[in-house]
Amino acid sequence: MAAAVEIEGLTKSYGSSDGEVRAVDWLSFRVEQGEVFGFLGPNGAGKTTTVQILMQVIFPTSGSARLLGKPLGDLESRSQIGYLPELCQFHSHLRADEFLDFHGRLYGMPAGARRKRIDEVLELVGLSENRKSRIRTFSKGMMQRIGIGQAIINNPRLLFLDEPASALDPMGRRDMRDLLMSLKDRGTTVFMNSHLLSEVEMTCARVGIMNRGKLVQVSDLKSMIKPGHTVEIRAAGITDRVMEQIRDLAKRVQQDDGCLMVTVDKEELLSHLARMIMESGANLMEFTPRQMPLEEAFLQLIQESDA
Amino acid sequence: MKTWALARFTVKEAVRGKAMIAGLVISLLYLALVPAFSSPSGGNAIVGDEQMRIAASREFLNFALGGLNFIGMFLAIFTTLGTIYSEIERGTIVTLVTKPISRVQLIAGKWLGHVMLMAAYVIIMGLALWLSVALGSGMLVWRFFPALMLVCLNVITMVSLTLAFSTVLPVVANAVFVFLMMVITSNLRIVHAIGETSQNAVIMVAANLFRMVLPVGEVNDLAGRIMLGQTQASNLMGVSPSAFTPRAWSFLYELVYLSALLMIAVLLFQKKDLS
Ligand SMILES: Nc1ncnc2c1ncn2[C@@H]1O[C@H](COP(=O)(O)OP(=O)(O)OP(=O)(O)O)[C@@H](O)[C@H]1O
Ligand SMILES: [Mg+2]
Repeated sequence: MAAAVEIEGLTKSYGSSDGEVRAVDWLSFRVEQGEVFGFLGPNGAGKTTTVQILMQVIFPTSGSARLLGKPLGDLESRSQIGYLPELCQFHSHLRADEFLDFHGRLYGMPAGARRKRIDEVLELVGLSENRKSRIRTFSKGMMQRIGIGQAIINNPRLLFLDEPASALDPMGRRDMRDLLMSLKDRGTTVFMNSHLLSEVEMTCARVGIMNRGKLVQVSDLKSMIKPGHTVEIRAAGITDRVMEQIRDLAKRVQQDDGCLMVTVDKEELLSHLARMIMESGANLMEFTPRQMPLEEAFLQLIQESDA
Repeated sequence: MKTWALARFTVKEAVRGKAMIAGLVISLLYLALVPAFSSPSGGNAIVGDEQMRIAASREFLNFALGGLNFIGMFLAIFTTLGTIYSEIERGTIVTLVTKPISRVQLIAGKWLGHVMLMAAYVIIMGLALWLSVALGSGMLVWRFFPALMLVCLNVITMVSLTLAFSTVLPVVANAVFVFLMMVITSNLRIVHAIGETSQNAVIMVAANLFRMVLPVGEVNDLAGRIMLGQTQASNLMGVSPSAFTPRAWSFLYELVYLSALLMIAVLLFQKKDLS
């Protein structure tokens, strides 16, 4: 089966007065069909630029990509792709149902299928009661909802969402999550740019992290947040000398209200650490390996790649 | 079908625009007032013998058609001005180009929408003028229709020109550029006349050549020739390059010209970054 997304040496540079800016720099990776893929990175990393190239809103300086096994711009595969842009700028004089109908037409959907699907989609994005309202009267979150609506009107096999939940309220986020799960169950590939790491943690199986136009890491979410080499230590009677030893051993030590957060490089060092505390005569009460949450992994990766 | 959906959408959008309301007001005023501004004999067309009445009807329709040509081209410019550029600025173009339509289809759909709207406008206005004469004086001026088709062609050319440049020029710049081109190429008769009085053949030939930069002026003259029955070969073919007579093939040239404009529009838009 062809990959849903296949990117090869994709580069986009913008010329500016003080030289060239590489928004995307020699990017290569794959997303398989059926995956829910989270695409992360700090502001200006190049996430939106990447998706815009894939959707041919803009054109790459060099490199190539394939979607659903077809070169970019292939209309046949395009009709199986949905896209929610980062900025929801729509023809706002249209009413919600007219808007969906127009986009259904652009997907080449026949009238009957459109009518049925419009009802479904309005329900899915929670805008059934606003079907006759003009989009210009919508709030930011409603705008994002109708934007998601036009992206899924065609029952896409591949869906690009550029920060789909940024303006959604808590209910909206939960609806979004449910929607993603039901899409995943139907085998839809989802490619999602996001800053909401908790959302990504709950929905994505694999993530790619970008920084300054380059891919820093692509991996399973599980392996990225696997029981790390961070432990939470609660102990009484740790002397300054022991503290010193711990600092020498650890990569990072954080201290907050009576609890030590220690990160080491290698797993073996953990037992060494425990023994050291015990042998010093301190009273070790708690020694818990901590899951490194995505946020921590993310911040660490970005820091490392910046260095 | 997708192109058609876009064309329909474009018509609806253009009809909503302010240009259309202004256009409607201008058009109604024009229909009401044009009899008063036509030649004096036009007003008296009812009296006099058959020959005079025919001549007067033709003269009136010729005059009215000249006005319609101008108003039609003017409206074509104003309804088409921002058709691509404003969508890029507003960001709405993104939801269009990311659908399964090619950029060629997008240009085609937009063009078709504006052309349908403006062609319908010219034909309805033309019919209204023709019927007013037919009912008013009983004269059925059939040669009006080929002339009306030429006016239609002019309006479509202006749509194509404005659309082509709306891929790269912001609304105001496009308006100024297209309007100037239209006014200059429609008034080269004056330049030609200067050449004639100063007996400068270069100026005369240049004026004639320059009409090809935008052939709407020349084709409008051709429509006038048809109305006045001056279509004999001697009037149209083999004219000297310095004579300011519309060339019969100018409308064919205009067809090629507007096709070229559409190709330019596609070339300018095909690989354009839209963000
Ligand atoms: N049209 C442009 N001209 C010049 N530079 C641009 C242009 N578009 C984007 N850039 C630059 O490319 C880089 C990547 O931008 P992009 O929008 O892809 O980032 P992002 O990862 O989506 O960020 P965010 O999280 O803020 O949405 C930025 O440094 C930006 O300044
Ligand atoms: Mg972005």
